[in-house]
Amino acid sequence: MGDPPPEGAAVYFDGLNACRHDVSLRLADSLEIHEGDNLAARWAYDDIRRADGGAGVLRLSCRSAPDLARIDIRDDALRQALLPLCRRLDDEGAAGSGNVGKIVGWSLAAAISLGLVAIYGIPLAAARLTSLIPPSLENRLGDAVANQVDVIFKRKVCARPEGVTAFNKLFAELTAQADLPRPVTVSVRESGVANAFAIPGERVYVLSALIDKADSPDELAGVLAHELGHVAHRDGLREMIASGGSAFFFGLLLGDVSGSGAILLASRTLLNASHSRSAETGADAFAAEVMRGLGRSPAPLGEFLLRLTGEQSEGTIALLASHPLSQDRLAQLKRLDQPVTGAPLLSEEEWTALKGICRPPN
Amino acid sequence: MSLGILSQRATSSPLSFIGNGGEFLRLLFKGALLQLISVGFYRFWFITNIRRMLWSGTQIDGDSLEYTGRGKELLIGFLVALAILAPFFILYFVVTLEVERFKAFASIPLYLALYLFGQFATFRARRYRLTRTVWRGIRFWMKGSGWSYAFRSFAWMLLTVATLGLAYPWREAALERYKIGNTYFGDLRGEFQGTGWSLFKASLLIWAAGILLFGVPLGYVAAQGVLDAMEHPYDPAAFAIFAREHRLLLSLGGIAPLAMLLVWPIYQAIEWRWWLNGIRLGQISFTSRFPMSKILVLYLKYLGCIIPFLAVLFGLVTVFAIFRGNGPIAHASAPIVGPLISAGVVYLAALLVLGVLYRYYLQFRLWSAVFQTLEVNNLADVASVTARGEAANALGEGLADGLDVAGF
Repeated sequence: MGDPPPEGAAVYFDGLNACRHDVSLRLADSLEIHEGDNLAARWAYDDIRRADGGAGVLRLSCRSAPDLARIDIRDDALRQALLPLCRRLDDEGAAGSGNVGKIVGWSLAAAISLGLVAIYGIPLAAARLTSLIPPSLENRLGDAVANQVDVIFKRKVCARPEGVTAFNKLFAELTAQADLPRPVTVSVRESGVANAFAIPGERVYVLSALIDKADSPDELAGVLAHELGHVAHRDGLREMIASGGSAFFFGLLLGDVSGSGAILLASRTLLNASHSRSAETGADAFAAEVMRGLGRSPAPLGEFLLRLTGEQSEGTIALLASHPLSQDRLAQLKRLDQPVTGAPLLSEEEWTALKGICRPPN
Repeated sequence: MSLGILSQRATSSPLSFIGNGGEFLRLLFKGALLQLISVGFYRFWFITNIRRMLWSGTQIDGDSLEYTGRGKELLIGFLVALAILAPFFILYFVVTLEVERFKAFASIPLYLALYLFGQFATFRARRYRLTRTVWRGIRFWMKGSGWSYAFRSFAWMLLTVATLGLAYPWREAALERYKIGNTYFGDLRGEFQGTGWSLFKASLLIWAAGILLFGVPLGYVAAQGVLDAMEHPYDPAAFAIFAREHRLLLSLGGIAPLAMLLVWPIYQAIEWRWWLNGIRLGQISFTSRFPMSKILVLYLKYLGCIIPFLAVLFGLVTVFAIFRGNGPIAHASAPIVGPLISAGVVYLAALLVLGVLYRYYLQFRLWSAVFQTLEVNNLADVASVTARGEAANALGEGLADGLDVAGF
């Protein structure tokens, strides 16, 4: 036997009491913790792990001792003698450094699969779900949206009788041609915004400024037929499911701790916009079909849209816009154009009456 | 040194903070970068490393605290929280839909359910952090129920709203009594002795100044405005005249947020001190000498760093936009994706730096300031404390993360 094993002073906490024990450590076959003449504990070197002890302190724990038993070593010589003996000191990973590569790698894998779900999964799921949802449930959804529409447009319904008669005649011609499975309700609301929209549950809203700006029945009919296209394709429902789904998905999963929320929002806008652009193109094709079926030209719809938006430049707008560029839509509609063969959809008098639908009744 | 202080030293022991600012900054930058390249998933380990450094730098009577939580636990807590929140949100969606059918926007009361969830999460997250806090080989732990806490918090919130904020100090006191009354160090039970009245008295000056400086003039203008609007309904011209007559008082409304920037840290210092001085663990108590000026200085330093930073950033963006607008590359089919990505990178880099500055000044430096001005009394009693309590799971942390709530 050679020299006696090296020794040094340390502080020991037994993990059972909050009492501070001044001990001496003896580096024998195992680490012996002596308090005075008493052997307080014996730690096997391979069970010893490093714990956070702050600057200048080596803090140790032991897997075969109570969970929270600790030894604090401030003596540098003792530390130097002990460290080579504890071969598995950092086995479970030292202060957050060991497995950074693994964390980042798995995170990126997760990000890629999330991205794929966002680009392919959610739209696909939305399309499948849309065909599964029964009309009665879609109608309920529509009720909820319709309530909000009422609040936003303050129930200002345009209802001058002569105008309504003309409007209903035009709409009836279009719905008959569109041949939808369920009846569509339509409502004209007073608003300075030239727009029309369809919501889930076969409901179409037309805002009065759109009627004001339309120059011919064909222009207005084109817009209405376009909205009927959304109804036929159940685009409103699908969009609701897709945007709700992606908001839910990203918001919940990634939290906003990383501050990347805005980036996610931006990419979601891009994704949603691209889906809605394809829906718009589909609705335009549907409108062209309806107009051709009535023996009318689909081109006025495109001209009307271009007049409303003006020439749109590509770039930012093209990527972010929810609708395709007006000039592109006009080009598409012109490709589907045909010479007028049918009778006008409304007479001069009926058109004048329709234009006045929002005036107070006389 | 006077004799009085010496004799007081006999029973009170100082706390100290030996954390190294440079090391902490390195940790912050590294963590922020890793968070960026891991699309945020690194946050569980990042938060853990921050806590480990703060805890281990904090010494009570010469022995440092230890944080035994791990990032993996937070990740698991988060995944479990997801499993709970996902069906909850779907249910929430359906209920909202049904309610909205009867009356538009009638679903707003349902947000209260989210509030309860948030409070539950706050309580349970606190329990997780406490059970991962170890000193001298003994862990802190907590009894009590997260739902019970959530309902208390909710009832007190209603009362606070009903009394226009007057009940706020009593709310804080009641909630702390519940939290700290359920807190243990081994077998030593906590108790909170701070009262709503003492917090109210300590912060009375701030409330009074706020009401006198902003509340009264703005209330006066608002009342005048309502009267004026009743006399001349829907008349923009009359409104313009009214606004011109009261422009001085109205401009107070613009200064109010700025003043809040200064008042808020002062109020926080008052509340911190009240909180620390109210805590008892058996015979053990704390004395905080946390100076208000300190927290104000830290806030100002933080603002001093971010304002020039934001100004430079804003300048860069403006220059970039002008260059894009007039540049020769603005032809019709120029892809916009490049600039979008660079804007995204600039935005993220800015967020990163702002986050680092926030954590450095308002977490690290503030933590350091709080503990360096804190003394603990009658610590001798602690030697007889025996271990009790188990480590709690990280569900609360996960829920808090999923719901974006924070609190201690």
